[in-house]
Amino acid sequence: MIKQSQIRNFCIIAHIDHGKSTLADRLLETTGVMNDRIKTEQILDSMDLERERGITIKASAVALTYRAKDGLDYELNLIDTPGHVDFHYEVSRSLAACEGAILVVDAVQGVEAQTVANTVLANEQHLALVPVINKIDLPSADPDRVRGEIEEALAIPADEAIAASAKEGIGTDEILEAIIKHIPAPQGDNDAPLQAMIFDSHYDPYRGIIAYVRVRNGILRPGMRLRMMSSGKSFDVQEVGRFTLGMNPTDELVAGEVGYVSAGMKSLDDSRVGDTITDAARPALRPLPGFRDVKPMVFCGLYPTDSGDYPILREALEKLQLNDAALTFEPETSTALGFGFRAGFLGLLHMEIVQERLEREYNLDIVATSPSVVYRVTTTAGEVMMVDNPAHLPPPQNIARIEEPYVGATIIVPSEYIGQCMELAQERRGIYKSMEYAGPKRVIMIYELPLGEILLDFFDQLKSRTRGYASFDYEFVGNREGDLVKVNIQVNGEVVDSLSFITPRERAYRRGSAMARRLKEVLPRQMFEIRIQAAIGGKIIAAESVRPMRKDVLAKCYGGDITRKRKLLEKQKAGKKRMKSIGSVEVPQEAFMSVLRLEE
Amino acid sequence: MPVMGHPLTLPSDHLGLYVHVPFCARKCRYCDFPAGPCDDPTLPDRYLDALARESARRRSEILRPLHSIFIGGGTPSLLSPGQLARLWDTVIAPFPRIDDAEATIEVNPGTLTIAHLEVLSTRPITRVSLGVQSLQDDELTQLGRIHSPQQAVEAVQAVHDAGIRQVNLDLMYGIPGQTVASWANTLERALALHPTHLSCYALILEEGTPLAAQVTAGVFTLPSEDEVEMMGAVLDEYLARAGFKQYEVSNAALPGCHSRHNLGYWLGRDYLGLGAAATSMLGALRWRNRTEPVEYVTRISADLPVIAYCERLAAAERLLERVMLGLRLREGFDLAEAERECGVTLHEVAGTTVAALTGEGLLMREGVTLRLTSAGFPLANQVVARLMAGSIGHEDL
Repeated sequence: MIKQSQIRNFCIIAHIDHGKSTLADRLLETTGVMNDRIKTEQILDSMDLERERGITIKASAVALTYRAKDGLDYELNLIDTPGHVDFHYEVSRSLAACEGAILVVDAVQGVEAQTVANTVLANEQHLALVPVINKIDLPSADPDRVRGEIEEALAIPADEAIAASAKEGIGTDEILEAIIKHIPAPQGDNDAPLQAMIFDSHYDPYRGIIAYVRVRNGILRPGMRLRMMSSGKSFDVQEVGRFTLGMNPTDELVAGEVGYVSAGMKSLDDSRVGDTITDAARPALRPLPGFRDVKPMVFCGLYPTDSGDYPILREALEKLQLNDAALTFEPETSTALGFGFRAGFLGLLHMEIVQERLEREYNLDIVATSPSVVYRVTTTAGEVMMVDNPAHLPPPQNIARIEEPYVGATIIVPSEYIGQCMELAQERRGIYKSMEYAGPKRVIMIYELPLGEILLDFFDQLKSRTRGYASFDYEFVGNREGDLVKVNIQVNGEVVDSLSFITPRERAYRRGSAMARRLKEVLPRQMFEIRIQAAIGGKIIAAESVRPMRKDVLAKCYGGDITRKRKLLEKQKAGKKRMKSIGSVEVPQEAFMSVLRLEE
Repeated sequence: MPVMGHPLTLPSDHLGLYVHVPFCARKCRYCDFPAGPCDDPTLPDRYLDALARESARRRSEILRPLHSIFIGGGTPSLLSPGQLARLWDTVIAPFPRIDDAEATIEVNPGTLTIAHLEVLSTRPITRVSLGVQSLQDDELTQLGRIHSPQQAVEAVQAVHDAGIRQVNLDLMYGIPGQTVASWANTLERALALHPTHLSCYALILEEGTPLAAQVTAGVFTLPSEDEVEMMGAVLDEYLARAGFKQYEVSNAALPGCHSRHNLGYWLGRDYLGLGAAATSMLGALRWRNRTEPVEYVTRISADLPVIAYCERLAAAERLLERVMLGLRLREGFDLAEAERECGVTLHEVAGTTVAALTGEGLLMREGVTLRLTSAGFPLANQVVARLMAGSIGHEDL
């Protein structure tokens, strides 16, 4: 049995692109886990997409064996954390599995928004932090300035911060020694009832769900019957093991250890991140703190461009869901787009990742309706309903109030861009909270913003208005009432369901008329005039019209042309059968899709 | 002239002959027809030999006299006068024909000579169709035509002088650089040449043509939709003033001067096509010859079949095609006759759609005649596509 004093559980936290994955690789390499065969890859990020976007979507873990300068062999469990704001809760659970964290800060970029957000999360878990200033080999590195920022913005003493270059292998040994020295060993009780926290899991097609756990107290062994404390469900443990590059079965996982459990669990619902596993025969009195139900925050409709792909889309979503508990979906029908799904995501990036995976891994051509947040609607009858699809909002006269989700946003920018950021936050209905300096030239601004405002190109705007210097992070803070209205788009009086949107009243006109104009551009002419209107309830706020087609006739048709022309008209006829009818107006599905694509 | 006249008719045993000459001096930028310049100077003569052999082959199968003849292209006037004479004498003349058979030849003002006209006036050619397209220098250049306005004017004069009474001019509108004013000017000057017939085509940008590519690339801009509509209105005005009647989508003529050969296509009459890419229709059977002139010549000389494509139209399909063609005629066509010949009624094929279109004021039926209303006429494609969409599949009939 391994001694707890020789275990260290830690993670690496950093802003995106500050070098977290490279440092992880270096640690693996130095401790001999990684051999040359796989050296080229950043092994903690297993999905292509993650590598391409430079972010980590799913947490993972790896066990390293390190002989320290004191001559002892240590088991170092490196738990990787997702690197994006959408996965706050997952990050917090990964942190909760550790006693400490390496805080990586880029020697050029300095402290950024996710540095701050992750530090806050780490402090909440009382983690010991080992600050590392990375990329000191770059000509423009300024470790002294960054040291100052770490002290000022994060209130972490930085004189001992390790100057490193993960890329060049500088400082790696120091980091390993600092882990042993500064991060406390776990202190669990092997004799106490079992408490193991699930911090991640993945679906294995042969064994079902494999849960990644941190054992706090007690011992986890194969053959035990375990119980999930949130759901009360029980499973028989088939295998436990450690993450020594991949999964290595062991006889047991003791208090303080990190490893995996296979117990014939069928779905992610059986193994929820943050849940506590206990021994069914000798259960713990209470679960470990911090478990939360993960609720999707952002919704959109997903439709196959080719309606024949509907079953493939369903299958693809089901498969993605096996490894992504935060993804939800249910069937939805739209008059304009046919059969599809209403899908829920943790945030905008999560949504983009899922869409990209559907297109890339399942070769699907899909169209997504505009993303929507979940509105909390109180009707005049006093009923409360959660609305994630604008089409389902009750008529205005039945609504007493609408609340929308707000986030606390941290924006870090060079001080010369304060004005631009304030302007943007203002436009997006932001509520100013505070501003403080992180070093002489950078500020941390805190705003509260409606989540719905962030969905529409907020981050792009922020980047472009600050020449890419701003960094941004957010977290859900609660619902707030807003003066919100639903704008319907009507075509000859018929509402086009998938084009409805909810917006602040003062912006209804602008967005409504923009949508009407775009629709006008893509609607093919009919034999009659098409009226396009944007309306709030019965009130028209913007209108456009498509003039009737005046001429549609083949100029030439002689002996040699007849077959070709007939086939042309037959094709037009086939097209007519694929049309979606909005009242008497026939609209090709592609027209709706192009409007929705344009809105992004 | 009454607002709604009687439909134009042809005897039910009308038989047309089309002879294709696939050679041009240069391919026009808008053209997607099976024709082009010919590199091999021996090819035209070999092609004429092949035509004569195909003519002989088909003559043994066709037992009725010809009612109309059309020598088209390409540019038939690119043949030498001697070759033209040979074409008539060896390919066409051996067919029996009715006494007053109509015989048309297409000519390009840039290649027509007095010597050609001498050949034509010594053969029973009754009608010459000149590819004038425009009488504006710059517009002709943009279209890639090989002739000038002046050449066109002189060519028409020469045709008149040769004593050929029926003269058609092909004109185009909606072409790059054209304005309503320049179109009016072209029409004014064209009518002053005293044609008996005008074919005025709104430009179709055919996929794959250089013109389409140039428009897509923004090299040329086409007149706006409003301008093209205005050009159409100007055309109607000029035609009416000159006593022309528009009898088909793109064709207008002085009374009695319509093209019987082309009317044959629109009324679903039989026609025989000779030459590369030529199409034939006999009853429900249609076939098209191979497109490549060299291949055509080689196969004919080797006594091999030259048919590239053949279809036998099912009853409903055939009737819908007859409707598609017949509705191109301003006064419509005899639906009852078409139904008899196809063996199915339009009511059976697309009854509800006919009723709907009639109700919407686009289509009308008077006695045996089916025609588009003035509202429906410019939207013929929509009407026909709806009839096809509303029809019971041919596989069901």
